[in-house]
Amino acid sequence: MNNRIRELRGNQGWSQAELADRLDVSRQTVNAIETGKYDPSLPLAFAIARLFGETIETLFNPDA
Amino acid sequence: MRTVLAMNRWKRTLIDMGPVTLFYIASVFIAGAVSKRMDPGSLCILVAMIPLPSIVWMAFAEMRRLRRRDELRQRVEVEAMTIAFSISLCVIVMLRFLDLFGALKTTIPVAGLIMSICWAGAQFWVRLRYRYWA
Repeated sequence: MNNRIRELRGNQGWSQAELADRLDVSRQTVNAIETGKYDPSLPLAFAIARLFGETIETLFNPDA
Repeated sequence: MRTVLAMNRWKRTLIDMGPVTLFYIASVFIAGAVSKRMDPGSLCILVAMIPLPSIVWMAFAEMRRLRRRDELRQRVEVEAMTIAFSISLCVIVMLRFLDLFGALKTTIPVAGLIMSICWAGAQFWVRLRYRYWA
């Protein structure tokens, strides 16, 4: 599943570690989500969307 | 900051697993020492069961640690354990049959070694799949 997390993180000027701290997950988890290796759980997807002020639908694209 | 976090992680691991590991080592040592001084009989079964509480405690401690982990790490651990269990079971059953047919002589410690090797291999494969160390 594709997502825009790397792009939005870049816009905020955050490193993967900083985003991981804000989401209370490991940096490896952020990396795996960004590279599309891992799809986050629903609570984590909501937390990411809330952090960037977006909706889950605009963040994640299941068709890609 | 990262060094402090890593130190806290090691401290947490030591607190979680240290006492139970010491208890396990002590109970295995006691069971071994007692069994050498007794004659074969039904009491041997009780002595052999001395390490059981520590193993149960260890399983609970490991489960508690797993639940505290981040969600991807939980998935990595569960997938690695599932793969390792499946493969090691196949290999151990095969070795057991070879032992029964007299083609190969195996002992119980070999099973532990096979399980450890399968677990390490599965950890490597699953971490590679999720790029977990990147």
